[in-house]
Amino acid sequence: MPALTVPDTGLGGTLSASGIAPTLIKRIGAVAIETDAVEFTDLSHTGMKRMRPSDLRNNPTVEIDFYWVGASVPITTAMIPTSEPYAGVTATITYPGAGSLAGTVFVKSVTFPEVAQGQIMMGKMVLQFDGVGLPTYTAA
Amino acid sequence: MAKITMERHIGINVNGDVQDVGQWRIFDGPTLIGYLPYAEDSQILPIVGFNYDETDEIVTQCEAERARLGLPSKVIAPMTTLRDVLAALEELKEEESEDDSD
Repeated sequence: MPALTVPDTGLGGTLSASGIAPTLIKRIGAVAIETDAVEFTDLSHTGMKRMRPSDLRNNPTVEIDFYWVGASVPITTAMIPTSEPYAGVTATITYPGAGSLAGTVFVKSVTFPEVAQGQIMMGKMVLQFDGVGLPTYTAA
Repeated sequence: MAKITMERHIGINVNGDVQDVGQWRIFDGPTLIGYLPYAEDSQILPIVGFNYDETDEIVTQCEAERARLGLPSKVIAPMTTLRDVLAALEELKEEESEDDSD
């Protein structure tokens, strides 16, 4: 009988990225590695359409929700998206007890918080994998 | 007392190839405590488990590791923001436990 294993939660997960990782992170979104599906159905096919994977994978994004607390300086100018030439930053998501996923990214968007009484101010950032440093998984 | 070792951050990329991520993984004993980019004068990127009370010792040992590998040795200590966050959470926990005991 296999040993009983209790799955980990996200407690202790970390986003590491020089100069662009916000503090007080509430949630690190899921990273989807995917490709598009290309249809190649012709008149002889029956039953269902025929599909094949596209040639290149789509570049994943990752959403980061964080508390917007002034005292800890939630964002810096390095975290504001820019169209200027840039050098991608290596971002590493460390999954508690379950390895890490790393790749080069840039900041695609930063969303300033909604402001309302009785509501914690939250910021949101979207990191875009740039496809240069391919998403790479390392076991724990 | 920290017992720091570093190993290249190697993984398997989406093509199934072995890839060097371009940074060291820093271990304190068996525990992963952060990352250090290969570039000279890089800053330690701490993760949960990094012992900020031993920051100086960790930086010294990382520099020794880099020197041993024949690399420029300067290493910059991590920002303390994560430490501040963890300290704030500890305070919050203590306050909650005090409230519970009342």
